[in-house]
Order: sequence, then C-alpha cells, then structure tokens
Amino acid sequence: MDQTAIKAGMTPIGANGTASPAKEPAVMPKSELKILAVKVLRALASLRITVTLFAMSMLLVFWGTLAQADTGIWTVVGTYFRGFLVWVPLKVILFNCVDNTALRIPFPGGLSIGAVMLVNLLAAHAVRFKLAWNRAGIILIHAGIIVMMLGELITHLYAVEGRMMIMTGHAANKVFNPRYSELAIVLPVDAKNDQVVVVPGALLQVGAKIHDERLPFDIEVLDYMVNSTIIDVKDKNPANKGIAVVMNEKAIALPETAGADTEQKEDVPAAYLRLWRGDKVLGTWLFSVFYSEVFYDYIQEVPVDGKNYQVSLRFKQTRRPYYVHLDKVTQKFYPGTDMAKDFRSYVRVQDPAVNQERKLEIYMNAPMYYGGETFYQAGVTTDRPGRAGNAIGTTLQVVRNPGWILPYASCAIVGFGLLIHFGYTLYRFLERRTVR
Amino acid sequence: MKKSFFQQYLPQVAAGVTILFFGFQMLPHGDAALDWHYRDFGRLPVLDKGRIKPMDTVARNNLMVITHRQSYYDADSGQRYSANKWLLDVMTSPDSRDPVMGALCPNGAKNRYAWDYKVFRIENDELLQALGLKMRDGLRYSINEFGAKVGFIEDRAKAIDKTPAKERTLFDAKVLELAHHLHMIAEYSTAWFPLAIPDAEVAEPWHPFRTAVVDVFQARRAGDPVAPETEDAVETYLEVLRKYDQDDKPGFNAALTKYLAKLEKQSPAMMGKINLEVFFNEFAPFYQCLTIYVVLALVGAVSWLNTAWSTQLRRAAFGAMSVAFVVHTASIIIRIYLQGKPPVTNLYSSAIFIGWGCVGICMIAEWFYSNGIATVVGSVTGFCTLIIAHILSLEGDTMQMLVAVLDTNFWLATHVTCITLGYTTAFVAGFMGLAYIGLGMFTDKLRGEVATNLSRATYGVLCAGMFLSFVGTVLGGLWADYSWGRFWGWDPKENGALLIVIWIALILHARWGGMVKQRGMAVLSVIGIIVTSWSWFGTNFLGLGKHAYGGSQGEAMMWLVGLDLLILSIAGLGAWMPLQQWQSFRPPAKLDPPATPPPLSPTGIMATPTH
Repeated sequence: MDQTAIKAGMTPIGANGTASPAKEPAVMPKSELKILAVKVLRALASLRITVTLFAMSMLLVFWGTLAQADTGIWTVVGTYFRGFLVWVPLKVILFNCVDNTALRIPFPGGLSIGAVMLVNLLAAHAVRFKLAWNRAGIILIHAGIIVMMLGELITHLYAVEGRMMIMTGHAANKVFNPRYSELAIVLPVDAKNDQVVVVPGALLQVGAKIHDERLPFDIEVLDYMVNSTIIDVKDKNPANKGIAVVMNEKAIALPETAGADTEQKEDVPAAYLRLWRGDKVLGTWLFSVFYSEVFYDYIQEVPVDGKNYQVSLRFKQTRRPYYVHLDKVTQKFYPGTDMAKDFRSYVRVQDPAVNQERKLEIYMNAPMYYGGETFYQAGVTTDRPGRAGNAIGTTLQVVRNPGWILPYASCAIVGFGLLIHFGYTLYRFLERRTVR
Repeated sequence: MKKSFFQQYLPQVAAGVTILFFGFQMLPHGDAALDWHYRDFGRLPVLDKGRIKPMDTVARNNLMVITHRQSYYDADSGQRYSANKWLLDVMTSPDSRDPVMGALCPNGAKNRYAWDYKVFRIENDELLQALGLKMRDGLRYSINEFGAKVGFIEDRAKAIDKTPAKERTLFDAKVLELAHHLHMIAEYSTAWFPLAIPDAEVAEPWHPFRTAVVDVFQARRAGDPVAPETEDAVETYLEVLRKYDQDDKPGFNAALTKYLAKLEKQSPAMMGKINLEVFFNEFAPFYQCLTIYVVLALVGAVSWLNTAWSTQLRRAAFGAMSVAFVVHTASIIIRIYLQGKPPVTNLYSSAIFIGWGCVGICMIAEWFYSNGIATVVGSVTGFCTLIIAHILSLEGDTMQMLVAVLDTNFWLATHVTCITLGYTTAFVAGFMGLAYIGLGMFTDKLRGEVATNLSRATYGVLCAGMFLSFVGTVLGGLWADYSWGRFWGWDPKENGALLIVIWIALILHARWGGMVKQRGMAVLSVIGIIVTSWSWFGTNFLGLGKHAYGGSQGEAMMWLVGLDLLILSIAGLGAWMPLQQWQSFRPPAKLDPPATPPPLSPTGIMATPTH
C-alpha cells in the first residue's frame, strides 16, 4: 500500500495536503493556546466528520420519510428535521417491517446535524482557506450551501403559511392556518366591534384547567383530539350542552393524517371542555372545527352573566387590513377527462389604505404578490364533485417568508461553484489527455 | 497480425446490420389478415384522455392493459392479429338488446366474436378457482369461458369498492382489476368510447359514436343543421361498422379510404401527427433498441475475452450502439413532438430517458477509454431501463396529460430533465461499480490502467451526477416555491432526491478524504443504485398499507426490494472480500497495486497520475 496516500487521507485538514507532518512545528505559532486552537479547529474540520454527518443525515432523511407512512408530515418535520433530538420508533428504524412503535432510540435531529455540519464546514474552510482557482469553486459551493441551510432555518423560524377561502362574489380578509387550532371566545360589542379572547390550541392539554382574567369562564379540558370525526351517539353523550346535544352527536378521535397518504386531508381537531363560572359548572360542550369551519360554519353560544359569548374551536386565524374580492373562479378540464387543466381566480384587492383596487388573475404557477405576502391558487370549491360541479369558491395559499430569496441565491451560488469546480476538473482531465 | 477482410470491416458491418434491423422493423407488418384495412381503421383520429390520437394507440393501450401484449395471438389458429382487429371486433360485438349497436351490428350481436378472444390475463389462483377456470399456459381466458361468473365479479367488485384501499386483499385487487377490464370492454361494445366524432359547434368538441349517431338523426328529422365534420364521421362509422358486421370487405375498405382521404385534405397537420404516431406504434422503437442492447451486452462481454477478435468486436459493439443510440434519440424526439412536452412527463418517459442517458454517458466513456467496459455497462443499463419502461407501459397510455400544477414546460424542461439525468448518472456510476467488482473478482482484466480508468470514469460520472442532482433538486424546490410558496416541504419525493445528493456528496468527500479508494468508491457507487431506485420508485409505494403489497404495485415493490437486496449483497461482497483474493489482484504476479489511488493534491482533487 502506498503510505503517502494514506497519510494524505488521514490528515485531510492539512492546508498543504501531502506536505509531511514533520514540517508543521516550523510554521506553528508560539503561543500554546494558539496551537491548541489550531488543533481543535483541525479536528473539527475533519472530512471523516463530514462523511459521518452525511451518513447520519441520510438515515435521518430516510427515517423521516418512512415515518410519514403513519405520522403527519408537519409532525415529522417538527420532530425529525427541525428538532435537536428525535426518538425514532423501532418500526421506522427497521423500514416499517415490524409494528413495534413503543421501542424508540434517540437520534440527533436536523437542527443538531445541521449545526455540527455548519461548524465542520466553517472549520474546514478556516483551516484550508486559500485563494486559488481550484479552490474558488469549492468555496462558492459551500458558501451557497450555508446560505441554503440558513434559508431553511429562517423559513422554520419566521415563515407563515395560511389559507384564504373566498366564495364567488364575496370578499375575505381572514387567513387561517390548518396546522394550528385555537379556541375563540367572542363577545359582540356593537355592529362593528367584537371583543375577542383566543386560547391557543397548544394549551388545550387533557386535564388542564385554564384560568385567566380575560376569560369569562374557567376551562377544564376533558378531552382534546388532534384529528376527529363526528358520529351519532348510541349510548351516553359526553357533552350536556350545545350543538352536540341538539344533534345527538359525539366526536371520536382519528389518527393524524399521515404525510404519505395519497388523499391529503386536513386534521379536524375537537375538544370536550367543561366550563366553570367560579365554583359553578356551566356544562360540558363539544367544540370541533367540524362545526365551526368544515361543515356547518356554526358558532355555539355560551351564556354567562346575561351575556352571550360566541365560542368556537377553529383553525388559527389572522385578519388582513385589506380584503380580497373574488369576482369569478373557473376550472378547465382536459377534454374527455376528469383531469383539471387549469384553475383560475379573478380577484380584486380592496385596500382602504391605498384607496384603489387591483384586479388580478391568480392561477397555477402565477401567484399574486400583495402586502409582503404571496397568494397562490391552491384549490377550487365546487357545488358538486368532478367535472359536473360548478366552481363557486376558491382557496388561496397565503405565504409570508422573509427568507424566500435565500434558496434562489443559494442555487445560483452553488450551481456556479459546481460549474467552476467540475469544469476545472474536466479541463485538467482533457488537458492531461492531450498531453499524453 | 494480419486481419481478414471481414475482421477489418466488422464495425461497419455491425452498424450496417443494425441499420437493416431497424429498417426491417419499420415496415408495416404483423397482421394475419392484411386484406382487411385494419391499419386504416387504426388511423382514425379519436379524442382519448385529453389528447387527439389514432385509434391504433387506443386499441394497443387497451389490449396492453388487458392482456399485456400489443397484439392478439390466437393459439387455435396460430395466427397473430393486430390490436385494431381486436378492438373492431369488440365494437361490433354488442349486446343484442342494445337498441343502437345491437341494431347496427345484428351478426355481431348474435355471435359476439370478441367474446371468444382469449385476452383476459388471470394469474391469481384464487380468482381462477372462483371463476371455475383451470390454470393453463399463457394464463389468458375469454369471456365465454367465465361468462356465467360475470355477475359475481361485478357484485364482488362493488362490495370491494366500498372497503378502504388499505384493507383490500390480493384477491380483492385482482377482482377489481378484472371488473375494470370487463367494464372497458363494455364501454367499447356500447360505443360510449372512444370519443370518435368531432364537432365544430360546442366547447368540448368530441362525442362518442353512440350519442352522436342519435343526435345526427334527430337533427336531420327536425331539420336542424349538423356540422359537416360530425356528419362525415358518423356516416363513416355507420358504414365501417355495418360493412364489417356484414363481412363486406370491399365496402369496409372503401369507406375508410374515402374518409381518411378527406381528413388528410381537411386537417393535414392533425393527420400528420396521427400517421407519425401509428408508424411509431408499429415500429415500437424502444422495444427494438432493447433487443439491440441485449445483443450488445453479450458481444461486449465476449470482446473482453482475449482473442484475436477482441478489438474488432469491441468496435463493432460500439458501432451498433451508435446506431441504436441514434434511433433511441430520434424516438424520444418524436415523443416530444407528439406530446408537445419536454421528454420526461411521467415514470414511463423517465425510464426511456434514463436509458438514453445511460447509453449516451457510456458511449462518451467508451470513446475516452476504449476498453469495452463502458459499452457493456451502457447496454446493460439501457436494457434494464427499457425493460422497466416496458413494464410501466402495461398501465396504459404512455403520453398522459399532466395535472394543472405540472403543466408547465419550463419547469418540466429544467427541473425534471436535470433530476432525471441525475438519476442516470447515479445508475451509470453504480453499474460501473458493479463492473469493477465483477471484473476484479472473477476475471484478471482489472489490472493497472484498466482499473484506474474505470475508476476515473466512475469518478467523472459521479461529479456530473453531483452537479445534475443538486441543481435538479434545488430547481424542484424553486418550482415548489414558485407554485405554492414552499421551497422545501420534506415530502417523500423531495427527500428521495435529497438522499441522492447527499449520497454522491458522501462518496466524493470520502474519496477526497482518502477514506475510500478505487474499491471503496466502486462499492459505494453500487449502493447508490439502491438510493436512486428508492428515490425513483420506492417513494411511490410509501402510502400503501400492508395488504396492498399484493396488488400489482405490491409485486413491483417486491421486485424492487429483491433487486436491492441482491445489489446490497454484491456491494457487501465487494467490501468484505480481501483484495488479494480478487482474481485481478491476486499475487504472485507483480503488478502495480491498482487499488491505491494516486496521491492527493493539496486541494483534495486527484493529482495528475505519474504514468
């Protein structure tokens, strides 16, 4: 075996690669601390660490994909890719071949691996930095990858996604986010104003008691379901007040919609809440997104001290200072098929602040940009399924992502870097051949 | 050594023979009853699945779905008939109670010739038993053989339809499949399909013959105007179906000739495409290329034997491969023209495109290194991908329309093409790795420069793969951001692409860091085949429940897992077996140690070799 090659491989951090280690003391700085720092830096810059991190990230990505067979994509993203540590169930580790999900092993999550990768990468460039033609490509590639990782981090931290549903001839300013729920308690004050208190869905943990000065009542969470459906009650109704009693219905829990499901549906959260006024029980209500948003658009009323509070469990929502009015929505099919060729919304933005209307068409691959947000055509509401139905409303995906430019920048930087680097390699290869 | 004349001109001869082979396949052939103009029937334009196409395509696709072949072989007479004849027989074998078609084709309604065609492929034991059929060679059965059980199939299928897809058994899947095939036949024998009658008046301008014929007659009776296109088409179909039913050959042929001549004059552009597609169907270029690639793999392998013929055989294989590559390329271009879309729009087209890329890359490698290895790798990968394409074509039309979000030529041309070429490079590198392991272990070919060159070619392909798969993946992200505002959503397909990028990055970094050398790179590249096949196919199976593994997708899944295990064990063997035991690296012969790479340059790039 060629010993020099092995050495070169074992000390990839060497800024001068094949140079023998014996030379090192000559260039070493005097201070002990500096020597230590360089040593640490070199250890951190090891290509072995890089390769190990690659292998670990592949396992993580692969398991994170398999986990989507049973778990919702956003749960997986939150735990696997945007967590520091993930407990991977045995089922996922063994490629979904066994059913055991109780046994779990800890594995570093995306944030940990990404952070170490960043350190490794920065250290490597710190030790090996040199301005030369054959380095330029490599520096660009890695700089671009850092930009991309930052982009994903910023998206994770700051991006907001939501939906806006508008029926033809109506205007909407409400944007809801189906990934989160909230309990809204609304007291209409006058024709124009409501007094609103919102309890985030994350606080509705089973067994929790919620007391707050701003709430007209205390909340005891009897049950909370991430995903549910409504069925007829055969035995005892868990609720004793509200629409569930009137309709004689109850909610049962469903598994979270899995990421790999072919039919992508949204989770329908529901909660059984016992409401208290001081020591007095007001009753047990069933609140479900099914009632408030999906099906009935029905808001339940809870009378407290002579006031009627409108209470609903709903998707987390925010309102924009402007309205989007839907003039018309169309859907086209390929002739002779049920396959949609085109969805298109004809909208007007009515913004009191600018006192003018903008008329726009939104369709696939042609979004609308307004107020720092982007509106994408996401779906069409029809009165009947299939091509027989008439389009009566539209769903727009509303996204605000301060880091949206980073992937584009990164793509350009890395692509350019790869071109330079591999182009240079190819050039040398061809040159070598002509010399021979 | 003096070469004989034949030996000297072997490459030219090989290329010539290949050209002749393709030329012969281009001639129209294959129908036992050519005096009926079935081919003309196949040239009738119809609107099917969103695209105007020849009847020939519809007939072939339907027959392919039902019987896994594009033609019908009658074992009793030993004759082979075209799909057009089969479809025509289906269309003229209506139910005698059918007021429209039954009245039009009384003979067919009485005899129901199509019911005798043994075309239904039933391979499931349980289903055969339920239908009271005996397993036989070919596994193909006619409706007449299980006619009494059709009601049972329909009822059962209705019940199964109500159960969630995840809970269905293999038997359920097969019952549904058969019910679906019967339903297809029924649609054609009642003339609800295909949409064969054009109409200039309404927004959705094609109708099935069944409604059109009624509409035309009612309009005539009421004195309303009828669009001439519609009237012509209805008259033609009436004539064609009636004459066929009456066994009137001249009448049938004349009606078709007249109508087609008129169409050629009225819409030459449409008929140009139609005729090209019919030619393309008959030629079946990818199937012919597949045949050539098999032969080339064998010839290439023989050229490795150290005989006087080695060099010439290698050149002959290269010559023939160039011809096949030209045909492969031209066929992809024809598909692009017919569909009006970039080359890759679905799994099928990705398979033929990957095959094309593999052959192309290997031809470049062979051009540089001229050792016959790349020829074999190219023809084997070309063959494998075209086989996959052939299996995928069993699902029906290979030029489907695209759902709204995918219907953009810009992103299809950039992202999809890039990522598919990324798959291509990963496969080529993997098969080069397989060649390295195979040749090294079982032959003494892999010595000195041969090993270095093979390894260098793998490295070059991996570098290209890094570029293509990275750029392709990122372009996909940009498309997603552009379409719904999310650059990266961590969904299975995206993750699959990411895995390829990381895997190639891992191989390259491991090599730059000296952690792997030639052998290690070969082994890792082989594992890359598994990673790539997961990204290409595996993610499609994710959403399936346990039971669905029995369906046709389940079979595909089993194949994939089996092949991956095989590849993994080869990689394992390559990694585990000490190099001294490989035939090529066996002592005592004192050779340059090929397993050692040249020293690394300061930058981590391979230094210029000294020899």
